[in-house]
Amino acid sequence: MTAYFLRRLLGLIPVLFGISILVFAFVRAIPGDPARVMLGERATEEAVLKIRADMGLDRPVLEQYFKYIGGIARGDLGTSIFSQIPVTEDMKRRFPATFELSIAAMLFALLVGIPLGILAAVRRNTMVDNVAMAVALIGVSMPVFWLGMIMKYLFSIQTKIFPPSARISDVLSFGFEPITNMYVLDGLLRFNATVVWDGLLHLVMPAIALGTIPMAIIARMTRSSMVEVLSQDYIRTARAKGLVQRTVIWKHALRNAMLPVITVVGLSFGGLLSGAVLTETIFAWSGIGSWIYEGIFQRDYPVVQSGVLLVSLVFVVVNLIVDLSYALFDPRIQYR
Amino acid sequence: MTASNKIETPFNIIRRRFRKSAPGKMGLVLTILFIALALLAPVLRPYDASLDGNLEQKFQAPSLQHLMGTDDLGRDIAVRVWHGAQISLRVGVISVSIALLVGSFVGFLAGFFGGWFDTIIGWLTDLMLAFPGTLLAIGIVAISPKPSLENTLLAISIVQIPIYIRLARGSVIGLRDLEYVQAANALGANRFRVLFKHLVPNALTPLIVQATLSVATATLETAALGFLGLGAQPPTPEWGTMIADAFRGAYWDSAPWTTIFPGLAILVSVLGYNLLGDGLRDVLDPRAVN
Repeated sequence: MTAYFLRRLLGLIPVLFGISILVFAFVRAIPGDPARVMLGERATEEAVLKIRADMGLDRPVLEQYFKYIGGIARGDLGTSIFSQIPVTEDMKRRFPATFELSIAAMLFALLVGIPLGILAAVRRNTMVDNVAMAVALIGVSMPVFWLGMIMKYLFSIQTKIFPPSARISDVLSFGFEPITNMYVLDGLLRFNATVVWDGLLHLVMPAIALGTIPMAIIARMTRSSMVEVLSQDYIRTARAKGLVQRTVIWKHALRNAMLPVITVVGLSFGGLLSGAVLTETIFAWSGIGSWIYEGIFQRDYPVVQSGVLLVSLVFVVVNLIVDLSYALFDPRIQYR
Repeated sequence: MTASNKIETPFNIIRRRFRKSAPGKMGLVLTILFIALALLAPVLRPYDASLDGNLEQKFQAPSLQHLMGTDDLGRDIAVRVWHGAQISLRVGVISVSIALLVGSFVGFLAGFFGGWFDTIIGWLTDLMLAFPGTLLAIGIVAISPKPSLENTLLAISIVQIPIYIRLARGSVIGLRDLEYVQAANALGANRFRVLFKHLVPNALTPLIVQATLSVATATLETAALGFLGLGAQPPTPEWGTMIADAFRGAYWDSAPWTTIFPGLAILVSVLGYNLLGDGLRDVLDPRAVN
């Protein structure tokens, strides 16, 4: 297991190296000069050249790349061209926001998707199954941003049940010192029930919007995996022993049926991270997604570079964790 | 179990199985309906987006005269949604075709010949799959000089290529060592003949299913890029761009029909492709039993 783990970690190096080159090249290929964007159309040519020199943009590309890689190694990701704030500062504030949102979305996806899939499998080919799978199919066919807007219209504008945007009410954000920048968790850590409740209210709609597609995928996967497992001999044996349905489903079948579901959960994480770009735009959620999006428009090289690098890093690591977690769920798998 | 001694052709088997697949039939009907609507749009109601609009009739709620209401420029949303179907279909079909052709060609070669070519292609696919799809598409569109529908099409197609490389490579590797292929080799068949005559036809099934499902993804991604302002530009009646107009113009909440109907069009068309893809998988995958 340890050897396998190390081998997988080493295998990450060429991929991460490739990612860093690709991201670096990509960002520089975005048309438009950041110095020009920063100074505006009417700035003189000398001013633009001076800013370019200050930012190191007049150096050879290879030199810029090595400087950038060296910076990463030292934990220095550069300074945002637009806001002049070190990228790591922004990241510390924004990554927890996206993390909080993704966790909430994934919780929603798991808590709704798995029971829905189990229900459909157990009541296979009945009305219940059909309805559950119709819900799942509509879920994967839904444009995330549209779902977000419809929810916002129904629950914030028409009925005012949930706040329409932002992560926390303005009134509360003054005088509250965040620790982790995940407001719900921070509220708990500071024993501040108002913040916890307020944070949760702000979280509900974005999390559902973001979690709908993974929910649907998980429900479909759980169903098909469950159907397969339920037809196996050991399940018949368990039933023949006289075990009640509940025990058979939850203790015998579910554990084996979860393996493909875990893969899907891991893969959905990438979808969550890119879905975050859309969801965060709709709900004015100041996370990594909206950061990258704004960065592209402002030609903010260091921001886009670091944001995309972070997202793909998270994605790669999550997939590694998923692979490793197979061993926990399937005792037949042994890594060597 | 009738006493008929008619030999069933594969096509007959497929047709018989497809008839039994309720989602497949539903998807087929939806998709055909959608394609018909898209193709008929320019014939039945020619439309020039840049000339449209009647400011005296802006923000009208849905009525008999304007089935889906009108937007900020007094444009009829139903007509725009209808013509959007054409755009959506075009982007979906072309981008997936490119990805399917390029991806499976490369995948077949990599799987069949192996060696250093396979290693490099494997690394490149891993690399591309390390970026979440939509994010990669956003990146590709961002480096193009101007956001446009053509660039969206290209970006979506590039993002899908690695999926087809993997699938094609996998199915060729699975078939490569079967007896009939060895037999063909033993008979001295040319390597390319073995690949394209004997392997490729048998490896197509998963690719066809994936292609149908990819059109669904492509439709969603086109809309997403349009919504972010990175895809089709106004006044093109692309569905995502229409929703973006309403969102940025801050009239989506006072005139919700400007958002609801383009979104429903996305939902229904994607639903059709997904149903059809599911149906095809049931039919074409010999392991799938119902």
